[in-house]
Amino acid sequence: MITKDALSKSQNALAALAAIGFPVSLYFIFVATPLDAGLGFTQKIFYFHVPCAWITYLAFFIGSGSGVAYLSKRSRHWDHLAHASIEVGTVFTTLVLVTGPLWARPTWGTYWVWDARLTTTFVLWLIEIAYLLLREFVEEPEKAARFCAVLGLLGALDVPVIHFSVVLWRGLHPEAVVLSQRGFASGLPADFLMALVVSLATFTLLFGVMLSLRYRILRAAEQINDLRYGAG
Amino acid sequence: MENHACARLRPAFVFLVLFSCILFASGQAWAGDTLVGDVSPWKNAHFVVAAYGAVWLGAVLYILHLLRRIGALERDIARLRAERERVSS
Repeated sequence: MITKDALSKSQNALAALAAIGFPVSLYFIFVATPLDAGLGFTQKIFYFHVPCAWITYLAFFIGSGSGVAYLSKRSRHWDHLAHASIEVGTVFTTLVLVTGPLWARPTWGTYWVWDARLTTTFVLWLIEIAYLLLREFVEEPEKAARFCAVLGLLGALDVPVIHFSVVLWRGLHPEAVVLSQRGFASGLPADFLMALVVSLATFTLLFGVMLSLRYRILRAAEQINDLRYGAG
Repeated sequence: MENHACARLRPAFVFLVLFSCILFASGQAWAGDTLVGDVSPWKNAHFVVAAYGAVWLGAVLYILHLLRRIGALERDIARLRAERERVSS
């Protein structure tokens, strides 16, 4: 069981590491990494677009896994973790959908095309919004938790479709360069990879901070309910 | 707690904004060898600034929103506990 104090300590440690990681990742992105020959300066968007996409995957993995754990154990802890993870994931999916078009405009000449990767990511964002709406509109907490666990599982099916969409269907979106069929980071020079790894680590820490804060809010809200209605 | 958290975050926010400005202002002269001579370092830089700004601002605003909610909920918990103690005594 996570106590309040332990959670605060871990939050502080994560926040401190993320705060250190941000200037370090900026250094690697803008100073240590040369300009890309083809894309020029806009390639720098890659270093925070890809980490946001990675966090989207991670959040859905944690969210759907916690949903399954809730369905089997019926513990509120798992439901809170699933809720927190999907909500934080929604923030990062939104950032993916903002940074992607900002890269696409100078590269493709348009902000948006109904390419397979873009469309499936947009579908995931809609599933996340539906998940959050379901939380708000279903009044019984147990029922909301059950419905959302199932919706989270359905949403998780979209994640591999997003990842492999660039292989399955021909589109404008570049193929994966980190987790590709040709091997890990085979299409990325070493200095580009270093900047990406630092950025991925920083964003993962930031996700950890957000997730623990959101989880703490859900626990606090539950505590208030218990105090109001005498269950605790 | 909310004010305390905001006060602690403010210097970090200012530091990161200044650090970003310095990096952008220093230009790509530091950024190793340009692979193609005719690629202008600043071409389309506003898209990069907008994308980075969106990520950074989005993350900071969301964390501040979470901290504000935690502050409000913890005040409610303290109030309810105090009420409970008053009633039981």
